[in-house]
Amino acid sequence: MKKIALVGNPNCGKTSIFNILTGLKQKVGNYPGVTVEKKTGTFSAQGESYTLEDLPGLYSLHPSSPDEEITTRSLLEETPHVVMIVGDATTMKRNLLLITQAIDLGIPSMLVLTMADVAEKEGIVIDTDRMEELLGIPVVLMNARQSDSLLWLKNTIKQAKIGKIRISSCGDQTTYRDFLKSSLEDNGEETRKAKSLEVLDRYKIIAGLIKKIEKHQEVTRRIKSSTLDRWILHPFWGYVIFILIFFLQFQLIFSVSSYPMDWIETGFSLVSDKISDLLPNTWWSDLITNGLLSGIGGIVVFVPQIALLFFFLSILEESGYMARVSFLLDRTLRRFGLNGKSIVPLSSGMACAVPAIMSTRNIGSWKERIITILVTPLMSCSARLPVYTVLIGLFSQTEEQSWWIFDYRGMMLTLFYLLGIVASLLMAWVFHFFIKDRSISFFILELPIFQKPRWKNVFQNVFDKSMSFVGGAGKVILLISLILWVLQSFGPSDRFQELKNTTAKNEQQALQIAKEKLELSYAGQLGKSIEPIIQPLGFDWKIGISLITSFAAREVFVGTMSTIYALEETDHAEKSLTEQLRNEINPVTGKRVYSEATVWSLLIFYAFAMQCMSTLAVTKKETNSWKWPLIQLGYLTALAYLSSLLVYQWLA
Amino acid sequence: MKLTDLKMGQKATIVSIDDAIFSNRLLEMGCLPGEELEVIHCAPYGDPIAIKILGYSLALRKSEAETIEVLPTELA
Repeated sequence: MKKIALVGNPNCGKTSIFNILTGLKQKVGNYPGVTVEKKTGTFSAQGESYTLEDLPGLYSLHPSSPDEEITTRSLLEETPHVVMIVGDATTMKRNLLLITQAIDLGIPSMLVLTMADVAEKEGIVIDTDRMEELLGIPVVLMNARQSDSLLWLKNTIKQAKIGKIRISSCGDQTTYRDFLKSSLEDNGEETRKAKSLEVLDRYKIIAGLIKKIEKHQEVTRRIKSSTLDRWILHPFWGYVIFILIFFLQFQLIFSVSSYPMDWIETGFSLVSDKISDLLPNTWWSDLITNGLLSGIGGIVVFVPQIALLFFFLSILEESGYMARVSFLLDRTLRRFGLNGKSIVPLSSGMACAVPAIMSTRNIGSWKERIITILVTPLMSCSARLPVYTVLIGLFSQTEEQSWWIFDYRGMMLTLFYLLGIVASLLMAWVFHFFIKDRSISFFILELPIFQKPRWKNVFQNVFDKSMSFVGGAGKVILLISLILWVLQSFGPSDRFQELKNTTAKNEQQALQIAKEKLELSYAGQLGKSIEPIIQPLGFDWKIGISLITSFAAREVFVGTMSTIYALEETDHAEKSLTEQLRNEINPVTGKRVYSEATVWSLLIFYAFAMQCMSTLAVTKKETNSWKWPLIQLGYLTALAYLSSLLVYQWLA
Repeated sequence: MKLTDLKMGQKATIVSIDDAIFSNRLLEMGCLPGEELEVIHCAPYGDPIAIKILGYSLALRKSEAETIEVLPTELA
């Protein structure tokens, strides 16, 4: 199968071309060597099958951020059969820099021109015949409204040719490739000079080219970007609009996602009941219902929330709004050692830190990128939500208590979201004193024209991100629920075996046996062994077990607590767990175990602690070292422990 | 005069760009001597700013804009 590499400027419509060509035949894999995700798809044209590789967008083959480097390296190291270059007709001059660079690689190439209809409205007409002649490669005009464009595009692949642009300062193709290769490794002053000379030389040639291929006409209509931007980038209203959009977005996510989440929970408990009715009462049926099914249910229940958040974020990104938010927030975020571009990972972190950390790749400055990665887990991700829900329910204030439209629960939740944002900014500020700069901080960002989101791209993105959550985080959660099941089902002492063989006479006794079994199981012993460490925070050994198990993923807390308190199966597991916890009495002091102080302490602990293996794994992957995930784990654990200690000792 | 000295809506031609580590990026984005630009947006405190160049909008920080020497169009 022949390999085609898809390259182009960011926002040039490259992803749309990829989706149109490959349809549903896409997969996300890893680049060999560097372990970052890459998207490939397959399609066939004129009896030949092709693999299409969607490379990250870039403006020049001299990369200035990790994602751009992926593209250059991929073109140099895994030479594709054909390079399909995508160019935006509205900014032909800037696009021609990358186009001429790509042609100079000496690989058979073709050019796909997008946005020609928008360009025409702005009075720019491209002479594609003349362009083919001057560049020496076939040029295809992609028009979204014309259905025959796709066929034309497919039929042109076989005509891809090695182009005829030559830059005198760079010599022939082999020396140009060598120059690119060496400049990737060496960042010295001399290389920088050579690179700027190349760019200037290219723009000289491009100035001549553009005169021959671009015809300017009377402008029929001004583009609407400028009027919309007057509001969106306004020094005052811009921020008001930003806050409104994000507030509305989160309101919608929580109100809409609660329905599918309820269905999923009910569905899983129904299936689990059915299966346990059908299967004989053995250890493996228990493993299936209590270990496997509850584990899978715990993963799937988060999908609606994550999918919805990525749905809104994709729309904001696709329409060009996110770049504007980066513009508005750059100055503020810079003071904390971050970059305007950090807003994308930070807001994605409110759904799930794993894809959020992956989206830091377009931050050019190494220091700002590392700081963004380190503090993203502090943003309140959706896995914290069930934990918060259960714990907030334990406060003596009742759920009915409300002020005007704000109810107590909602206010507490908002408080913890704000706590996450404030903590991440403060920690970023602390880190910016300690992390040495390796590269300069810069913010040179294109504000793409406003566009209606392309729904195909939006849904594809939502699907990819949800699948990466289910696949990545899912595996860990599943594994942990299995380990947890083993730890709870076996114990070291003889008494444990004895209890295991006792058959309960009534429900009351069954609960009693289950509780004693848990205390004697490996999980119980583990919880007891860490009790001295967590006692100053107001936690007992039962919370200790949950802390250990939820180290893998926060939401495991609720499941573990439910198991520990040996709940009878109900449809509303969370509510009944809350009631059970409220009535829990400490046998020594005779007071409630879950006092206000303990609940606050637990809430604070969950707000800060690094309880997510998937996040650590992705940090390791993205930074290519064990140093940063360990620092992340260390500082977040310390922050969580100390804050909880402070809060508990102050309130108790 | 520097790009940062321009007012909103003012047009100018780039005269030169000071050498800095990020100047290659500016060149790649089309900020070339002789190219015409227009200041189209300013964030509070004039940092960052957005310019229209080569027919698209480009955002850059004040510190980056300061390295670009321009000649306002009305003076040319």
